Amino acid sequence: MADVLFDRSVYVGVMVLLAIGLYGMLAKRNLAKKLVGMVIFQTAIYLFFIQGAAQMGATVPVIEQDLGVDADTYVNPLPHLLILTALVVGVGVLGVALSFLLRIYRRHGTFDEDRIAADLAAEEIEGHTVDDHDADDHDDAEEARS
Amino acid sequence: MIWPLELVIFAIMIPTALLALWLRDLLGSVAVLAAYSLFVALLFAGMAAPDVALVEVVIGAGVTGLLLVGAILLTARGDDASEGGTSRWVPGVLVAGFLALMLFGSVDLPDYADPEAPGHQRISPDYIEGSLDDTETPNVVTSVLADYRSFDTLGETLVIITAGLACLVILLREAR
Amino acid sequence: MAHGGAPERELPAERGLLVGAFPSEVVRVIASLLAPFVMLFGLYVTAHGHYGPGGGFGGGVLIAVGPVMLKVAYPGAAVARRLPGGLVLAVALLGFGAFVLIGLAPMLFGGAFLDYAAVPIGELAASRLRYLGILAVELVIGIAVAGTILAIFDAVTEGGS
Repeated sequence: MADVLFDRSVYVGVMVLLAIGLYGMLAKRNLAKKLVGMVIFQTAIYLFFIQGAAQMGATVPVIEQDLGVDADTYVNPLPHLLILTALVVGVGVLGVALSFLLRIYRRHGTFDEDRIAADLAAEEIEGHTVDDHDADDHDDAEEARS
Repeated sequence: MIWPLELVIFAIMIPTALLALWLRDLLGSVAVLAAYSLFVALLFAGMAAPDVALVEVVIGAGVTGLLLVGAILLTARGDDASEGGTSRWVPGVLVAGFLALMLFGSVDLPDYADPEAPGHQRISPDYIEGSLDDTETPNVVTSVLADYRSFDTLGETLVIITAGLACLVILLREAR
Repeated sequence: MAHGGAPERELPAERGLLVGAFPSEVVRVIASLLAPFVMLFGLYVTAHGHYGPGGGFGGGVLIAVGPVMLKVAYPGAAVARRLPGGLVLAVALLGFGAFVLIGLAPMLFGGAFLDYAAVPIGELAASRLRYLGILAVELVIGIAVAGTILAIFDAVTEGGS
């Protein structure tokens, strides 16, 4: 009975972490908090892959002369390298997300979703277009005049 | 692969993740997130993946935290977003459904650390047994990364360079 | 909120990495002492991927962390001006180009793309050639990753102000 509990507990832990990350991305109204939720979601996926590579009675996939080259002695190396590259790509994703966040902050002065939505609605009423490209051109014209 | 150790780390990690989302101070939230990444790296090391653990320590606990701290210091530190209304229980119900679906889906997965799992049977034994003869490289992860599956790595390198380019284009376009 | 939108706000001058006494004396001294050793360790990790944990991805990030530490500890100092995002990203692109060239080299000798063993160098055995090919690819990945991380950090912290 205890064995069954242990065998499945890693899955339960990973799924709970996935749910926490998803809740952060859905429910938090602060955009930076959404990013924190995204990072938690990402790490849960990495964990899911790495636990799939583990094998009972196997060791790190660096071949040791004394242990021989029997495949049962070493854990599965394939998920490791998939996650190795995914980790670095994760930093790229975070960087692009932060760049968007900084631009949103520069334009609206807040990370709060509701206030950004209100801001955008106010712009529409004033006759400004919400379209990013047009708004930029408008800015440029203003800068040139001043 | 020491069962109680992994359970203990999971028991620490889940409250840490919740704390990172719950804290109102964004800098504190990022600090807790870095600690969470450190526990993830410990778990990777415990699951016999030292390569991934090393990179997770450097990236998860280091670079991710630095990027978030840099962005937060440039903008607003406090999370003054309003809570409540429908935004609390609608995502809660959705996420509970998601969790139930995921747990239901995990029932048919092989047991944790089962040596007979299908994922271990096809191609990875060839990689492990051929690595020394083909490439003289004891670290199988490196030989698969840079030789057997180097085309995949080429694509991933292009992906991260594109991400860096996107950052510069997004931010520097208007900062002329 | 009173701000009506279209013209983008100037960020307050005291914002950014220079908040109050944020980079304290302790942080400055430790960062300047540690940065060269972190970069050296990154080089070691990059080149040591054959025998232990490491390789281009981990080592490249470590190499990038050295300048990033200095940029955090000394905002606006010479480090930031000498390593602008565009230049660093160009270096990363050069690394990627070298990766493609390494992949194309075996095709000159009738091999497949990225099949390092097809390049005849002296009397080396095929496994030795693959060993050297892995080393070259890891170094090139290290350059590309280090450049990209530096460019992203540069964009997020400097370009945002």
